[in-house]
Amino acid sequence: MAKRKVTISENNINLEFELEKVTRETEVGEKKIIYKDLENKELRKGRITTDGMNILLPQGSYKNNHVDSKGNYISNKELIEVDDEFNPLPLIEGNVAIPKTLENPIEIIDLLNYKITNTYILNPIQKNDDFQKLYNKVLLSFNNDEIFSFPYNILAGTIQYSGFLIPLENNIILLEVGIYSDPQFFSRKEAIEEQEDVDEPEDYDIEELFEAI
Amino acid sequence: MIINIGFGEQNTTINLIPVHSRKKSRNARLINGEEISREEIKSEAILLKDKINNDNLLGPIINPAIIEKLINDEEIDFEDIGKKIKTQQIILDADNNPVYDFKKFVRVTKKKIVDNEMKEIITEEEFVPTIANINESIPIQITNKLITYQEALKNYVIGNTKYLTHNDGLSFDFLYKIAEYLDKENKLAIVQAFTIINNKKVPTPMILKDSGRPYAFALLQGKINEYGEYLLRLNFVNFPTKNIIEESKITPKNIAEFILKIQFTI
Repeated sequence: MAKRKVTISENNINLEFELEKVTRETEVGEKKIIYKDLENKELRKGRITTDGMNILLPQGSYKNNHVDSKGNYISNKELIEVDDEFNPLPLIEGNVAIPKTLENPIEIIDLLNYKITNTYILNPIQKNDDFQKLYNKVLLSFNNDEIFSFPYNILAGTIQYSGFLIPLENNIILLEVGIYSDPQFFSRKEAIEEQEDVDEPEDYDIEELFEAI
Repeated sequence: MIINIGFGEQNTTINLIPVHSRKKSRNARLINGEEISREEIKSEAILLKDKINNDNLLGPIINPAIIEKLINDEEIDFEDIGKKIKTQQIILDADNNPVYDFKKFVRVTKKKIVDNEMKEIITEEEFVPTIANINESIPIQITNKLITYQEALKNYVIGNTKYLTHNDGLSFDFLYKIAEYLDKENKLAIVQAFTIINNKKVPTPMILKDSGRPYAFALLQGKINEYGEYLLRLNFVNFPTKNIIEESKITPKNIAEFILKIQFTI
């Protein structure tokens, strides 16, 4: 599969990069749960219906679908995301194809206001002087406690994603993609009741977030 | 969730609450204008008609009553096709027979640099579920190791973030003091879980819930504001970036050899 690309525009020069996704698995090892019988033969997982028929379902023969409280199916296409007052949330167009510029640095400390959903290495198509200048600019900014950021929405949706450039050693630039969350301060008055942990799953993918309403 | 946390000689129970990266109540409206709260919509499995009707489905049927129907050439009622179904996971052998006596293993495939060459190392070990070790009774410790924001973001990718919050006046004072200290230092504190082995405190991975992923450590950010409020964010480290840097040092020749080796293996 062709790798996703991003273009960074600097001094009227467009620099193209291939994105190489980095996950915990690529760093610490890809884990897979496998099943074996007592003779050490590998087994596989399957799903059966629990309606008494016990039909073994071939892969891809079923899918999850939204259902309302009356049991009616709702297509994703029929849904519009709305706020608490049921006003439609503004749609943010996909903007990955638009060249990114290094114009809006944020303070390094503010990156912790973002929940990081994906991390990529930016592999330059051409590792030339222009790339080196760009790396130096990103590094200089980082050393001054600033990080360059830009909008980074792969698909159209209502959640704003942002990309951040982190310079590593050996001329590597890391692109971290995240969602903003307002920092929450706590006062003496509010004693927080124990809350049920309704955090998002740890291993979600950016595309899955878009699919979910 | 309630956890126990130590700072210096003191420790107390506090709350660990999730950071919501998007609005909690994200309602929906149908194109026809009907309003639906998120709670009213749930996800259910449905059978896909085109897939269910193909011959592949009729091969692996487990229920003996169905097999009998097939042998006797009786009609099978697929009335439920296209409707919601409930499913359950089972383990099968190569002939699609269910297996009830099996063992679970974890297969780890890791790329590792050996003698300046990238190698793929596969290991397998019996699966042991992780057990949560962050709770009310076992304290996690805010260590005296502090790192700058630059060091933190250059060396680690954050995976999961939670707020530390108080549940009474005493725990407010405790947490405010920590936030004030970290704000003044303008650094992040390394937070670790420990276990006692031979009367010695040994660092152990932090596991938030049973079967959850282990985190080597977390980085605590503390801020206070002019209204006498505090912010304490515990950032669990997803993975370090040092391997990315090491891998980038491999020469193109080595990479080409590595790709060739993989192709031959496949």
